[in-house]
Formats: sequence, structure tokens, C-alpha cells
Amino acid sequence: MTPAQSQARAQLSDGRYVYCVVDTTSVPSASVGETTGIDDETVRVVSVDGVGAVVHDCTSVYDADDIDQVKRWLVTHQQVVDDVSDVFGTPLPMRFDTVFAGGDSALTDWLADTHPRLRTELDGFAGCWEYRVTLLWDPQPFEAHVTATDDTLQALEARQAEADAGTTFLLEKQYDARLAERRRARRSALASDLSAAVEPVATQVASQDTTTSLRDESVSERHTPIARLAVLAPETDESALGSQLDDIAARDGVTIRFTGPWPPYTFAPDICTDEPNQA
Amino acid sequence: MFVLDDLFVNPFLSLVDILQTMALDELYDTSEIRDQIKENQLLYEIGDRPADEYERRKQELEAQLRTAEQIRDQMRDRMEIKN
Repeated sequence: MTPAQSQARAQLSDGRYVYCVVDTTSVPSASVGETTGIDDETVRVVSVDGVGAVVHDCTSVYDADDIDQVKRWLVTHQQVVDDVSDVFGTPLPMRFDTVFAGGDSALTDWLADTHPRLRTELDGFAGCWEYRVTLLWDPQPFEAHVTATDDTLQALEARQAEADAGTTFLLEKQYDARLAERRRARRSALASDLSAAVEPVATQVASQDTTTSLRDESVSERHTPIARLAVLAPETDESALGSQLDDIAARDGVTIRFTGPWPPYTFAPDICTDEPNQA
Repeated sequence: MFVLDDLFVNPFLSLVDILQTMALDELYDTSEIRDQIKENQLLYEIGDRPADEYERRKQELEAQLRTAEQIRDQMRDRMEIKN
């Protein structure tokens, strides 16, 4: 919870839920359009010298035990960020449920105090978006190929055919170890090739943990994520980035999940806590 | 309860991870939600479900469906599976 949120829980008579920060230099801050916020609240932009916070007025923070309610809030939060991005360009995202107490005056004070930093970040991310790339691998085609072509595996298999029970057990262990070694090498090579493929078009790349607690029902159980990258790239290079991934995806057993454009969630700092975001 | 767990217990987990995963789930859940709406209707019609429970469940499922469809709309041009 941010300091702003802690304060908001204690006393929140005039809160401002902040979706993101945008560059209002070349677009009037009134141009937020018809987008409606969480719980159908009116969305507007509070701007100080070309830097605007996209907000709605609120009297509480958003916390619920109802998972469907939280889902609706999240989806609406992202919808607002998407809508204002269409108008103002790449935003600086804020964490879900970032609420300022003290009304517009507290918010404008914060915008004024952090203005140099916000301006630098907005300029730095202008025209760039985050893309997510996940490489999922089904090892079965690779294993079928390697068991048919690897000399060591074939030799171990041949020896098993003539060995006694005890020796066969040891040979099987050696066989499994060799296969696991080849599998690990292949995983490592695929991950390296993926990084090399995105590097030419990326402004920044962040490697992410593949052991997420989030569920993934989109691929078979045989597919395991072996690399997850967050890629910051210019919008103009989106097609080039997708093309770079095609070569990797064409390999046996490989599925690439490519999503974006997203606001730079991974790369933008967490402005309220002044810490880099982590994915 | 992955959203609550990951968003509030693990506050550094980014919103995009959660949205992405919700989209992956919801893409496959939409037909299931529709089936549940039909089931609720049938149970009510044959008298196995009282009116108040039917209405409560109907509203709940319709809200779920709207969310699922909203997520699908958001992700439609944003997700590509390459293989």
C-alpha cells in the first residue's frame, strides 16, 4: 500500500483515484472523451504545466472480497488507461487502487512537486510500449528427434538390450540423465535465441520469472513456459518485433504468446513509492 | 482467488500479468458461463430453483459474462499465439 493509500484509508472525504499520468502538452486535458471509470465514475484530467493525472473522484479505496467485482475494476481500470492512451500517447501507469486524499489541491501539489521527474519519464517513454513475449515449449518432438539421432543415447539403448537387470537399471539412469542434459541444453538455447531475436528491435528487455502463480489454461499441460520477456519497443517496430518471433515459433514444439501494446508497466517507475516496477 | 491473492498479497505483480491471465482464462470460460446461464434458467423453469435464487444467480452470471466479454474485447487485437 502506498503512503497515499494509507492516508486515504484513514480519512477519505475527497479522494482522487489515479489511473495514470499523461503528457497534456499538445492535447487539451479536457479531451479525455466519453470514457467512464470504475463504477461509472466520471474520468477527467488534473493537469499541471503539461503533465496530467487521469482521475475520478472517490470517497473510498477499492477493496473487495468479491473476485468478480475486483475483475470488473481491473478491466475498467485498463480500459480507461487504453482510452486515454489513444488521446495522449504513452502513459505512466499507476498501480491499481492508487488513491490520493485531499482533492485536486493535494493532487496538483504532488504533480508540481514531482513535475521534473514526471516530465522526464513521459518524454523517455513517449512512443514506446511494452510487449510481453512468453515462449512455451512442448519437449516431446525434440525428445523424439534426439532419441533417434543422439549417438550416446543410441549406444546406451543398445547396451541395455544385452545387459542384466542390475546393469540395465544403471544404463537407464544414464539414459535419463543424458536425455535431461539434452533437454536442458535445448531449453537454454531456445531462451537465448528468443532474447537474441527481440534484442534488435527492443529499447529495453526485462527477463521475468517463468514460475508465475497465475493460471494458464491456454496451452496443453506438456507446454511449459521456458522464457518470459517484457520488451519495451517503439510502436513503429511492433510488426518487426512480431516478425522476429516468427522464426522462433516455427521450431518444433514451440508456441509463442505475444501480447501488447501495453503501457510500460514493467519499465516505468512506481512513481508513488519511487521504486522500479517489478513484474 | 488468484486476482485477490496476486494483486493485494503480491503488490508488485504487475497489472498486465493479471489482465493477460484473466483474458486467457475468460476466453475459455465464456461458453461455460453461457451454459450456467442456461442451466439456471432451466432449473427455474422446472421448479427446482426458487425465484429469488434464480434472479440472484442470473445477475451474478450475467455480470461475469459481461466482464469476460469486456476482457475478450480488450485482448482481441492484443494477443497473438504463434506456433
